[in-house]
Amino acid sequence: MSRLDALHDERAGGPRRSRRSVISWIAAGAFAACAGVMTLFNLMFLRPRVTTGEASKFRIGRPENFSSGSVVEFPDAKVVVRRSGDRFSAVSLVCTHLGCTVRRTDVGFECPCHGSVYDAAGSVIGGPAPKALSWYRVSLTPSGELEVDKQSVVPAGTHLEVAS
Amino acid sequence: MSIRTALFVSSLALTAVVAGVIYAATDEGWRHHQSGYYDQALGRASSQTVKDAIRATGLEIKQDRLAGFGSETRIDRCRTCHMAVDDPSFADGKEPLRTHPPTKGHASNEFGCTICHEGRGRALDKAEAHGDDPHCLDPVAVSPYIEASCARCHPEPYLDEMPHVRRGRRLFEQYACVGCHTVRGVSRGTLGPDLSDVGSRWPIAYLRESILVPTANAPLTQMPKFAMPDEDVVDLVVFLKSRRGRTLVEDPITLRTRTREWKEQRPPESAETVEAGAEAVRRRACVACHKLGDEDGGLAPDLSLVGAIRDAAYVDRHLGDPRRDTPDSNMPSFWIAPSERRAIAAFLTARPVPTVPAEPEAQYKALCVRCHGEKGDGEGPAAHNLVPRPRQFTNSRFFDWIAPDRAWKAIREGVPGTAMPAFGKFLDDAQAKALFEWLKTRFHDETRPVPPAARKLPERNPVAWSEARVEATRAVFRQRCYGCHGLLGDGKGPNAPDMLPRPRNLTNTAYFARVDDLRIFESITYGVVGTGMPSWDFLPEDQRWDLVNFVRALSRTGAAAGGSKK
Amino acid sequence: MTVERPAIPADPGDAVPGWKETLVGMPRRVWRSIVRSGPIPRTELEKAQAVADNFFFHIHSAKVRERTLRWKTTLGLGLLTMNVFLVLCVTGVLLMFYYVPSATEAYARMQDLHGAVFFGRFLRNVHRWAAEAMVVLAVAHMARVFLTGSHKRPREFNWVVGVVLLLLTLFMSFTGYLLPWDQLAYWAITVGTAIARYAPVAGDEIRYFLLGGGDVGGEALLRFYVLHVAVLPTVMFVLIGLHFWRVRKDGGLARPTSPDASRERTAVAPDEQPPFERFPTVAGKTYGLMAVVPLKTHNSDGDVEKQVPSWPSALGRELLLLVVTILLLSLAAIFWNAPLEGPADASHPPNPAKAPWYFLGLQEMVSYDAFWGGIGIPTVLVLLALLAPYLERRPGGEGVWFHPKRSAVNWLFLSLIGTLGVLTLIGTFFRGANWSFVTPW
Repeated sequence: MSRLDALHDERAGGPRRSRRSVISWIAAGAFAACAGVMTLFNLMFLRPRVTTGEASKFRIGRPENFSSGSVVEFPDAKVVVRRSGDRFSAVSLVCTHLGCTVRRTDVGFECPCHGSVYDAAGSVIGGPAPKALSWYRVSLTPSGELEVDKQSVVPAGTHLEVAS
Repeated sequence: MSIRTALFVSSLALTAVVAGVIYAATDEGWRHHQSGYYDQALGRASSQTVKDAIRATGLEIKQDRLAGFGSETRIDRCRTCHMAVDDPSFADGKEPLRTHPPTKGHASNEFGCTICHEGRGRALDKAEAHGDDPHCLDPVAVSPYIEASCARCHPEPYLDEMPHVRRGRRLFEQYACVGCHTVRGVSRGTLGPDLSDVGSRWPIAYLRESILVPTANAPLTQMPKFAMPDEDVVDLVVFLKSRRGRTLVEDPITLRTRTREWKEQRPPESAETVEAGAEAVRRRACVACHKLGDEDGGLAPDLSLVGAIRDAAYVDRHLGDPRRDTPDSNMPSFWIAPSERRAIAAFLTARPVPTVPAEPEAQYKALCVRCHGEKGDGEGPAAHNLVPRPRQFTNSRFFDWIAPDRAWKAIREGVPGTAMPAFGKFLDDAQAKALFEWLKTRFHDETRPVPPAARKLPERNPVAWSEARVEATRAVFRQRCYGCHGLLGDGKGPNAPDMLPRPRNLTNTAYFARVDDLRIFESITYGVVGTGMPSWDFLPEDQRWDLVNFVRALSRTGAAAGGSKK
Repeated sequence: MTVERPAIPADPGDAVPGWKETLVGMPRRVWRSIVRSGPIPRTELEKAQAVADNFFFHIHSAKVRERTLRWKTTLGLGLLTMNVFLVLCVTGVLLMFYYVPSATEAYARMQDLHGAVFFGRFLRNVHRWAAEAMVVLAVAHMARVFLTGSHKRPREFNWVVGVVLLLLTLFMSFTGYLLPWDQLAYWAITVGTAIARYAPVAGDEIRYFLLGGGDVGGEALLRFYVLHVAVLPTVMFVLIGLHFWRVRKDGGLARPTSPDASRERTAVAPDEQPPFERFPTVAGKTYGLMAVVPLKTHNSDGDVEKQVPSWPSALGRELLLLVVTILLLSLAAIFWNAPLEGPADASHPPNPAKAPWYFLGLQEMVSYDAFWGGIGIPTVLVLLALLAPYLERRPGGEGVWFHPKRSAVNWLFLSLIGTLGVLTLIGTFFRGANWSFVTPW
């Protein structure tokens, strides 16, 4: 072990880095990288890829099942799907204030918890809500069904146009 | 090597291993299938909208949560690889990227996949998902076995789309499976295991094997090996696989009510006419085992001769309880009304008695071959299903030893308690003697002179039968006889399977009723030549007589007749 | 590169540093409050401080004997066992996030781990193989300790702790075996707990108590889960702490006695030793756990010249062992998947139904004689193991592999372990349907 001591003394004394010092830095770097990867993978492990609860992506049926101008609520998914002409859109029913489920009213939506009021497009027109209701992406699957993806929030007013 | 170098080397090795871990964790089969699908789907997409949707999608696990089928929520992730099941443009695709044929209302996101196709819906690895390992009870089902899944929701009457289940159900009756097995709502047999939920307990391969070779999975089974074409086996397996207890459309209460009603049903009455009997014999599929005219199940005795060798009362009794006269009979107790039994008896006994040739050889062919076999080795087609097994005429030592008058008597009057019928109506005394002589010369491979044994036999049984002495003899029986004759004396001791002829069933009342004490005593004292029964002459004589009385008690014959079982 | 050692003022006095100094010096102060020595010690003094000032001091003295560093001395088995245990704790806690101890859900969760959960299969594989490895390593460590005579005075009690830890390891592995709730688990536990029924008088009651019912069912799963993730790990943590602490307090690794080293202690035969003072009259040593350490600490015995600083020599080797552990377990996990058979099904007993492999020696003995094989002999063996250091009368042979003075007990030990090993091998590989003898090839 006296060799190790010699190493330390050498390093302490001279500015020149010995080969041994380089390899110990490489080893430390490799260990750190491995530890990093393992930590990352363990975190990815903890983030479920599929959930056992309500699916974030769900199919709502074929476009022709919605008559023009219809507004259909999906209470389990907390989403309302609207069709106007050939354009489909999906709006969240979760209040942006503190997460209560909003009610549909004649003019738009209102939150029963703290009184936030939204218009039909989901914009805030009253109450404590900080921002408008989210719009979700609606897409057409190859099987010809409409699919709402709650993980994909789109700017308000985004529609899916389906040629009928 | 210094510790520093060792750490350096190990750090490099660890890096390599971690690279391997990264590869192993991220190289998942379904990713390849999905990217393959998206590549192809872009080319096949019908509209720009669909193309946009495809471009916007990343690789992800697709899963269907399916509730409402039974009590638990099912999760199917099959679509993670089988991406194209609902994409009509992949009709010409190759698995796993192929469009599912039209399903008539069984939308995949409502029904999922495994409800019909089986396999493990949660798995994402091909072998695991398809159940390619031997542990999987329900691996992915292929046609026609997949039809069994239809019956989970579509009970009887079966749909037109389920021809194999339907035919399997019919075959279940045609092969008289109903005689031995219970299937709730279908049959009431008790000789074999209940098959009402056999489909949920065994995989298809097991069911198939159990029909083809019954002893493969149950070495001691009495189930006969039916000769049936492969398509029949397949359809029976489909039917059995569809038996999973309660179907998903029946609620437990309805099912309980229905089952009770079904249990309380009485068998339908029948007109007691020959015609009705003929119809019953046809409907009951007696020829699944027996022979009648040209039809032959090849498993049980020939019914064509019944008119000559049995009377109507016997047939009636035998149908009611096959084990009453022949305690070890393999014939199932059918669910049958007394009137129908009498009709069958009338039909069978009314059949014309076939004429029997005069030549012993021809007689043997006509009367004996079915049980005793062409080679006289006791291996006729029906032999495997008869207990006790037919005598082997090749057993020279036994037949040289046996007193000829006993053999003649057996031929003329039959052996009660066994399957050996009385052939007295066909053969007179002289013919029976001639037949026995022919048998001895025909099948004896070697004739061994039996040493003339000076047998000293007393005139009569000197030991009076008493319950107490019999009870005291039980210990002797357990010590001396248990190994072959079994604890209960039913001939099923631990050594019995290795012996041929099998040890005598000592509880066989009908058999022992015709055997006198002296013969039992003789068999105990000197053994039975040509069988596994050894000589017990070293036992004290009164103990041997006690054993005779014990046999009487077991068989409830002789002095013990009419007494209690003990 | 020079590392500054901050001057710790001998007496801070009443001088209040300014805000600027406080803020500038804050990162260092935070660092120093966590790690009490400099980043890389260079001088002997710093190396000693690096250990003595830190948590390591609970495990190492500032200097260790050079002998300690030689692989031959211990083969690193104890530390490997500990490393594997740490890996088990980490992977086990991670797996707990997805596991549900319910008879209807557990198996489905296993299937989820095999695909739907990223990295799940790898973690389960590591956990499984680490569990098997820990049983093997603990036994190997025990054999090392015995064969080098390291269990002898004053280390008797630590040996006892070790034996208890081995039993806990087995029980830990056994309780974990049930959790996948597959056929393998179900029948192994059914068979394993059935062995308990051969215990006289209380056999059935023990089994009922353990399983929370007459059969292995949902209740048993929950019980085994609680034992596996809460009760047993806690007990093991405490005992492992005690075990390590005792290694140090008993004077480090056992070493051969030579006349010049440790003169006063081993020169006298044990029965001639002066009775030790339970509460030695050393000023300042008042802590009550002394009761657990009957003898004086044997830390310094004169052979200073043969010692080296534990930093970095010992700690480097320990790091190496940890890396090797992780490396081997990862390799095993990549190449071999942990078994998962069909879901537990009481109506389909496999033939033969086997206990977990480390109990197959027991099951093999049970097949000869139920009581003696399942209860009698194991009890005798455990008692023998617990009392081994107290039963061995002849002194000497410490720290030397197969010391000639101890050849008799070593042979006895090896033959017992060997017999158990052979029985386990027979039970594992040579027993087929109906427990008949088969050859695996």
